[in-house]
Amino acid sequence: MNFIMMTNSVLLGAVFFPLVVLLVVLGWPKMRVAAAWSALPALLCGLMIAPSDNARIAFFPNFLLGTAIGLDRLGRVFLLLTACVWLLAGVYARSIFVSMRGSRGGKRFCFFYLLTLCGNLGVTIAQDAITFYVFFAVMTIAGYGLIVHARTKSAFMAGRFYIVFSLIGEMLILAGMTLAVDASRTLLFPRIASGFVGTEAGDWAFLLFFIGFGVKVGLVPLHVWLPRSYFAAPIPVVAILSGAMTKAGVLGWLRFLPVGSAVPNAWSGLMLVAGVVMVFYGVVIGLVQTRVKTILAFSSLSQMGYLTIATATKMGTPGGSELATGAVARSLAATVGYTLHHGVTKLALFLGLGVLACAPLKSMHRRAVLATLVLGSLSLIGFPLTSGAFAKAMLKSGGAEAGLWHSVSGSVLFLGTIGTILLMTRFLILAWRFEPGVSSGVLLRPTTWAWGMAVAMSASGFWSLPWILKSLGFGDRSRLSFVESVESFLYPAVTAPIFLLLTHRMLVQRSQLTLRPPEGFLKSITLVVRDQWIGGLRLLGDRLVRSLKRMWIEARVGDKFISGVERAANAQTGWRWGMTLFMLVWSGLIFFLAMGIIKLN
Amino acid sequence: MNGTFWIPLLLPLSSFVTAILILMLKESQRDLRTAVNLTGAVVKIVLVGIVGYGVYNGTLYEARLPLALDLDLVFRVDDISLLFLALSSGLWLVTTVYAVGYLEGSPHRRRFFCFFSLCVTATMGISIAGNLITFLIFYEMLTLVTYPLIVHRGTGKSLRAGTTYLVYTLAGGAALLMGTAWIHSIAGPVEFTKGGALGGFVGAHRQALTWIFALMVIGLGVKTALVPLHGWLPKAMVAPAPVSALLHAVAVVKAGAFGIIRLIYDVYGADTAASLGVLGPLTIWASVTILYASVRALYQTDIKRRLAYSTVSQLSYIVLGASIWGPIGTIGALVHLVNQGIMKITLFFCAGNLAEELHVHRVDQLDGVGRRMPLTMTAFTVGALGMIGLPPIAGFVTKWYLGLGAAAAREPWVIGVLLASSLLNAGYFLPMLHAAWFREPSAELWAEIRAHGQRREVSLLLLIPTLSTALLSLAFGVFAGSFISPLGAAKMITERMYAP
Repeated sequence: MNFIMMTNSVLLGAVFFPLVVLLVVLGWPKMRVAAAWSALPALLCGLMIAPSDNARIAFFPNFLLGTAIGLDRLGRVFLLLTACVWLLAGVYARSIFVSMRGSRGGKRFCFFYLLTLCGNLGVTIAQDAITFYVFFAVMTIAGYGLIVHARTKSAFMAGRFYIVFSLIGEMLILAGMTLAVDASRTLLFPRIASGFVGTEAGDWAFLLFFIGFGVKVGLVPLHVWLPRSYFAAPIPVVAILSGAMTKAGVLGWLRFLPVGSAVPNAWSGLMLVAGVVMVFYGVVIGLVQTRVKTILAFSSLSQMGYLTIATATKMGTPGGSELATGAVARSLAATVGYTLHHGVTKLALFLGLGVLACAPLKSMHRRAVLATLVLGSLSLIGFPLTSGAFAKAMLKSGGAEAGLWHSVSGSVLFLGTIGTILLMTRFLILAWRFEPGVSSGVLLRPTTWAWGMAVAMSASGFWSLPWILKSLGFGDRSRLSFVESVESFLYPAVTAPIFLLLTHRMLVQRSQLTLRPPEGFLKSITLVVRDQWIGGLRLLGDRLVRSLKRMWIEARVGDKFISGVERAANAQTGWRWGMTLFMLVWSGLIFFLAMGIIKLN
Repeated sequence: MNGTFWIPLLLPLSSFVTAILILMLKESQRDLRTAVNLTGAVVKIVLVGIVGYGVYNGTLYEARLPLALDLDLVFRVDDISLLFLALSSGLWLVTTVYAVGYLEGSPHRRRFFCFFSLCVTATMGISIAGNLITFLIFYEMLTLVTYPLIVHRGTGKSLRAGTTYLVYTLAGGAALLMGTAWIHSIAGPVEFTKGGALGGFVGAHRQALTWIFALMVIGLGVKTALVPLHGWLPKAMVAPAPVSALLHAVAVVKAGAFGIIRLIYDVYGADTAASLGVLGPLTIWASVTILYASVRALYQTDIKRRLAYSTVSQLSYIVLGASIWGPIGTIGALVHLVNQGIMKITLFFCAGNLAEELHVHRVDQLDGVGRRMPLTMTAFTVGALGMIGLPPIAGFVTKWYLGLGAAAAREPWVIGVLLASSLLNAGYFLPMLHAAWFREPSAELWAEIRAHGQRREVSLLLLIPTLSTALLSLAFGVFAGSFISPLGAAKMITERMYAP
């Protein structure tokens, strides 16, 4: 037992700790309170075990198809974030865990929480494709139980969307993996990604990975499950989904997609465009929502767009010269930084929303909670002295010099910030009006200190994030000076009031139906948006729902086609058909034997 | 005359003797009969263990008895037969336990267990047959001794199903016989040989060999339930649950799949078959079967019928793997031979438990049964997720190797077929799981739950086999890398097969 095996065994222990807790809890239901703390060992591991790039991978040849696990720099960041989000959200949701039979099924929640947690933690330490996929699948499938926890009609509908899209994603990833492994002849991580570039099936493998993990990230046409799940799931689950589980999709991209000069420009270009589309799509559709949770869902979508852009610049930048090592490192640092920033900020926002939703608060407390929501929103916007300001600055400098991203980053970030300002204003207005009991999902008595921790982490981000990134080994970018952060926010700060003024009626509208657009140019724009885009998208959505419903047929034998097939099948299993076949074959046989005998004679 | 001669004979004989002993016992001697049954099953597992150790170390077990003319009855244990032996002897034990519990108190148990043992005798014979004629004899024997099991209940429906079964399988058997005779007229007695026995005859008899291949695949395809030869299988669902379980996992359908593997690798040889160009059409046939049967399964409301169509689809995975040229596809086919067996038998055990305990036969009656029978439904969940091919359950290993094999053989469309089939599998399994775990139980079921409390599941004789096969399905996936797993065995066989 050498040092490597020892650290990795500890790591495995931390990842499988939730399953151990699960066994204990199944035996002693009273221990359920403790289950909320199951992510703690993983968090400690992430803090204590120093990462290494290749040297400290442990192989377990007997498990799965030969498992490799270990903690590298990238995995450590995701492990820390995942453990942190799950721990805070779990402690926050302690009252769900302990609720007994009949009152919202604590046992069920506990089961799925622990299983999904195990999958999500495992994803971060997997060092080979199969192990990654196994944990990813465990996370995805068990996540269904968390999303449908409320067991309402809309929860089940959301769960159905979730599972259908997720399974399609899983299948695409699997197909990509077979192609990539066939081309690169290895299951291990850095090499599987670099191995399929430039091979015959390379383009396909890239597309399959891109779309497959994109389902989890919320890539635009495949994001349909996301807002529904966010709306229907309990608040802590939404925080986990947004803070940790969607990030696992980003980790999938980082693990499976190659880096370097051999990467075709088209690949990173496609991702870049997809990211930009997500950024704006999330804002536009989010703005017309009337439910506060859904707005945050679309904000997540929009923010995941930035992460998609960051991932794209890490792969290479179309139009740019050969991607230098420094540029890759910068982009990777930007991706990681943005992941941490968004994960923690969204955690704080969702948990805060949950506090607001749980019970009527005294007006003082209510204002305090709203203040933290304002803080979180400012961070998402990238306001000076927030973690968002730092993350966006990193994002801007990612990728190769003189590439496509560098030429558009200024305008994309500017417009994106304006969009986020509008969206978050709308969010805050709705949060202000928000009355407890209106929200769907499970009412719970949240553990407020867990939320307080999340807010503290998010609020200190401007100072702590640079330090965290540096100590985790991602770049040596020191924190922005106050002047720098103000500078980069100058243009949005100046123009935002104009946009706010122009759209203020839309921002304060109470329902979608009474949308009264301002006169003139903006009116036409809004009309176009409302009637053409949203109407069209709704129609598309409805069609999709209908076809999905059709896919989900349990027993609809009335259809003509089916009855035709049925009849054909019955006919061939019937006596006459079989007898005819029987006679034919045996007479053939006799003929054959007779021929043989004649020939012999 | 030593161990290497007698042990191959003892393998089928141990079940045969069990059958005779059971026949001599009275119907009422239940305990003695169970003891005989279990002893036979355990003895066989021990024998298989001995043979397995021997084969692993390179011992040749062969028994050759003269039959007639120039034909010999040859029993030989090679590594492929070992895989099938291990599967059938292991599953026979659990199914025997299950059947004892399932048929508790029902009539004609002596007849049932006698034919049950004969059925395994035939399966043993098929797995260790060393040439075509021996294979054929036991293949036909299997057809005949399974009939009484299918019609065991004696109702009109089961008699009709039995007739359909006989018509199909006898016709298939005839086609097989025809093919065998034809090969015999070209190449003389054909023994199963690594790398194929017919390689030398391709030049002179190309056309004939192609036709023979088609004929024999049709013959074997009846038992493998290749569409449109699958009609008997869903009808045979009227048989008691343990029979369906054995039928679907090991005995009948696997005999067909095993035959196709023998035909491709040991009669023709993979290279010869590829050069004849017969593998491509077989791949397409298997793909069509996979998709067609999955679609049909979506529309079944009877649980066992749905499982039956799932079997039709899953069996073709084996054919698919065997027909993709290359070692990785072969690994996929061989490993699925075992994995499909263990997962499907779990599912059928569960269906049996549901029918026995709650009289649940249809999918729409599944609402909330997870509360009443959590362990059974856990086993069912493991089996179903495995069938979809989700990791870390055994089915994933198969799908991975088949997909990789298709990629290596430069036939990426096969990956598409696999994925479509997985999605369809999800389409008919997940609603069942959802209903069982997430829907509220019906009023009657609530009354049931209240009456019995949470504690009672079903009798242990039914529960233990179910849980142990479910656990194995999980273990075969989680520990796939270990050399004693089905994957380890399949890899070893394939290595030896493709060794120069």
